[in-house]
Amino acid sequence: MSPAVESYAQIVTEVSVARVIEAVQRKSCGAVSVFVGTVRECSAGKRVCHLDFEVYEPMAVLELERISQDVAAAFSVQTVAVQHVKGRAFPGQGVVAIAVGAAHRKDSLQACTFLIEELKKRLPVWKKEYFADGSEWVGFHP
Amino acid sequence: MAHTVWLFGALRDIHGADTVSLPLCANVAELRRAFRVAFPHLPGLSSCRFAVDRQFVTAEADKLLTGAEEIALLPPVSGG
Repeated sequence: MSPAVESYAQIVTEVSVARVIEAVQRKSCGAVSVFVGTVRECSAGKRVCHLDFEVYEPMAVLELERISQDVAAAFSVQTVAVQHVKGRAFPGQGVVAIAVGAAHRKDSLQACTFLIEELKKRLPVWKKEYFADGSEWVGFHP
Repeated sequence: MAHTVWLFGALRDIHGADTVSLPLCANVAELRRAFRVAFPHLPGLSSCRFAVDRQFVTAEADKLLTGAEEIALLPPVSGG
């Protein structure tokens, strides 16, 4: 069984890249990898005014912890930190910030990629895009 | 006794309320059938996943219910 990873997970109104980096830095880590997801100004050829993120927050925090433990089971990492926003976000703003600390860069880089891919599949968060001429939920096409 | 099912995202928007109420079901597969019958105006149910007590349900027929659980119906997620 892999050792439990030190993890930090938060749903926030504004992500802080400095905070997630600070949360994973250890003297035993030779690598810290960071991913920041930001709001694009265009989606499907239309200009985005803003996004609204709806979060099932009690489950989202638990799911982030579960994803972090899955990361630790798959890669040799020491620390994981994730913040995801709730509420409104405008083009250019960060909406998710991930940092992973590991002894070596290969593990931290691969773990960071794994984490964002799992988050995209599993985190109970829904994004609504607002355009000048209307709005739509992303990914729901009944 | 009844189940309260929390709705999110597009489902909540279309239905116009945060929750729906369904009669007690033995398991999540039965709950899905009951939902489809009670709320035929809510589309895309086959792409939605149930969460019970804040965990995704994978084997719906095996997930037994007592009526005390926190249940949510989750449209395809789009975070990140």
